[in-house]
Amino acid sequence: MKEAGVEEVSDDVLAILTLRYLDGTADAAEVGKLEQMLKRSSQCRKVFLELARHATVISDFHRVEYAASTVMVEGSMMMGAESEEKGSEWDRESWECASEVCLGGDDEGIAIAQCRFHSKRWRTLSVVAAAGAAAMAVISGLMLWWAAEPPSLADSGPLVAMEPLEEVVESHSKRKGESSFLTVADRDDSRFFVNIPIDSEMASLSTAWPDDASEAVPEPPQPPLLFISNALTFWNLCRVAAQCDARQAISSTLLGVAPLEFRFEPYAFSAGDYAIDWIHPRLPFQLMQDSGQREL
Amino acid sequence: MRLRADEVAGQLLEMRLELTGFVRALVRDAHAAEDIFQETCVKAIREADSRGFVGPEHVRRWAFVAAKHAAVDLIRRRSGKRGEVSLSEEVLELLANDQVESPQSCASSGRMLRALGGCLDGLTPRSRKVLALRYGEELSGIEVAKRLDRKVDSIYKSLARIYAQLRVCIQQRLMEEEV
Repeated sequence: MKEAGVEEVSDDVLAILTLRYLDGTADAAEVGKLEQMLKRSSQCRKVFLELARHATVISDFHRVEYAASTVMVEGSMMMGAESEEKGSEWDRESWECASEVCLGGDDEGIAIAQCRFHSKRWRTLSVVAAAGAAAMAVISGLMLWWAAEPPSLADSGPLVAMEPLEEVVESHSKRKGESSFLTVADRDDSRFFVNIPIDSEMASLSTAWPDDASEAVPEPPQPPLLFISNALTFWNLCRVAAQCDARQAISSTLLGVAPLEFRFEPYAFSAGDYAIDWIHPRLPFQLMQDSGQREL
Repeated sequence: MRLRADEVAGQLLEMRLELTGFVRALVRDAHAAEDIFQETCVKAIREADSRGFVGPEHVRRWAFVAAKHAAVDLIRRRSGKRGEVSLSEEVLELLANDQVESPQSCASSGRMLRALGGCLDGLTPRSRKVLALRYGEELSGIEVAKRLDRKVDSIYKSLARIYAQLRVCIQQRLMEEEV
């Protein structure tokens, strides 16, 4: 039943005004008209809210599909020629899977791996991404080893002795044939810098500030554990990102990052007939070769 | 009995589509709507830990009111900065009240998307193209018209017609699923 004052407005007009308002192209007059309609009629408000909700559903759908097609295009570039028709088929599979598993389907607990390994192409991509992650793990291991073994003095050799300031000034003056200046910053106000000519008296002065000696605090040694802790934090972040919920999965896909199921225990991720050994990772081309054989 | 934080979070995730759709209607920006939804979730979980919710309806009402406040704040900031013409706060309030009072949509995001996927197959290629440009590439109706070399009005009429068609189709599919 139409309410008073709304009879003259067709649903079509309301829908068009709403659509224009929602995409930000409605001018002030159109917004005013829409405002009047929404103020007067709860039915109009219902239509307005419904349209916005449907816009959100369609937008979600296309965002997933667009993300999937972006990954697909990147995958085609990486893997070589694949027909476009197969690609659109893959899009459909991907969004269905994502919507079912990731976007609040009943079985949220289903392994996200099911979604990721839904199509053959995605499997191939994941294998390549897994190889990349394995390489990162090896690099991190090397860095950890390096961090745990600080270079000894014998390895690095003695520190280079610094020349006394007067010698520096003298040599500089001789070289340039003109007086040298010392640029001094006002300690209280860092905006001001003063150029002071260096004479022999000044050159004989110590370079340390008088109060530096009393305030000098030995710098604490960098604990090697700090680096390890950072590395572990990084891996934990990866892990959290990998065990993402729907929106995280979509946003990581949107960012072009192939989401991975990375586990610490055991050091493997598996789906169906795939089990990748993280301890003895193989080279990417070997993995690609394997995946090609499996697809054949 | 007070709901646990994980129960509240679960309910909010079920409500995601409803809540983001509502916020999107107010702020007209899909990304801002997502941000507000996330903010609301965080606040709701804190609220669950501090004062608590007595039941799902309490969570629902609280979430819509919190999301509306966040949306109104954003609109105020924007209208100050960009001079955007927006609906008045009076109308936003009416919309929020209607939304809270309306029965909760029982369809989860996953079911809706599944139904929509099937319904899109029933559209003509031309209609699908319009939707893909509008929502896939996030172009405005005017930009879509330019891209397809069509009149702006005809694009908005097409969109309105497509929405109506999809709404009926989605409802039918959801009913069929329930049967």
